[in-house]
Amino acid sequence: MLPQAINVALGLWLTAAPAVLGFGPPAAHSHHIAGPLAASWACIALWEATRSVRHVNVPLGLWLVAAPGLLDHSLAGAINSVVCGIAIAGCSLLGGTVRQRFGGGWAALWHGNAA
Amino acid sequence: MIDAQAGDATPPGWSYNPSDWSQRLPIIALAALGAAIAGYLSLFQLQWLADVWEPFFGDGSRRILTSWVSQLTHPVPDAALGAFTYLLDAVTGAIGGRRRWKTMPWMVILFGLAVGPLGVVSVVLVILQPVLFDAWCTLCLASGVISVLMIGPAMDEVLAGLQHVRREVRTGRSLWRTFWGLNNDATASD
Repeated sequence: MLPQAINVALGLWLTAAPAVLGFGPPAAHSHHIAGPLAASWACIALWEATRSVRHVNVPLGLWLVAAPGLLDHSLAGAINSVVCGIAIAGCSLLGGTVRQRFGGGWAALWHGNAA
Repeated sequence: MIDAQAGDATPPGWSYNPSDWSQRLPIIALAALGAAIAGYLSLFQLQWLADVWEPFFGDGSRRILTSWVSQLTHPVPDAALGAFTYLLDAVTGAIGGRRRWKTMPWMVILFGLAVGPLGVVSVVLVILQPVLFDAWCTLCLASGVISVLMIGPAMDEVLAGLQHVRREVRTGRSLWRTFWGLNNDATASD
């Protein structure tokens, strides 16, 4: 749960970063799109039954790492994008502890036997 | 969350019952709060209120709530559609007892269909605020946060409902009758 909570915080920070660090488009657009998406996916992944949604944030983190090479970024914007991207992708790979049982989960709907 | 008294209310293979009131009441409360916020914003969009509360972003709320995106659903204010969907979340979250994942799968699935797309639309609208209009609307952001918060806790019940339908169909029961909760052993409600 903690890695997903960190990603919620990072997503919110990305959303605020263009105003705080003072940079405009296109870097700001990249931040303003990736931030709410990362925070939302991580927020859904906070709950154990939907923890697997965390994987969606891996490509999103990789985008943030690549974006300064593809779009015009200020130095601060570029550093922020790469650092947050690495952190988001890394946290997305950590599933954490799942204590509850869900009758085989979502996988039981399309293969195997539901309990 | 583990309820020793749950008996057959807990879905097979589950450690808790996602249809328990302790699971559903927080979501219903969030939906009611979302409906109140979106209802207030739609009053401004309908021009029944001359002003809108905006503590942080200057004329941000006014710009967002009168933008062309907010007019796409004209003559209905987009906030009113949001308020309606929040109410649908609350009502479909409240109807049915602790075994509703099997007594009325259709209600659980309708609940999920109301919660999921509301969250998706809200996040898209949040992104459009800075990208298209270079403005933020505080209460719109609050509504977006609420709609995303509801998704995770709502989806476990949808999963239990879908697992039940699949399990019944695999044992040869009718998909139609299972979906509407018409199988004989599943009709008792509590």
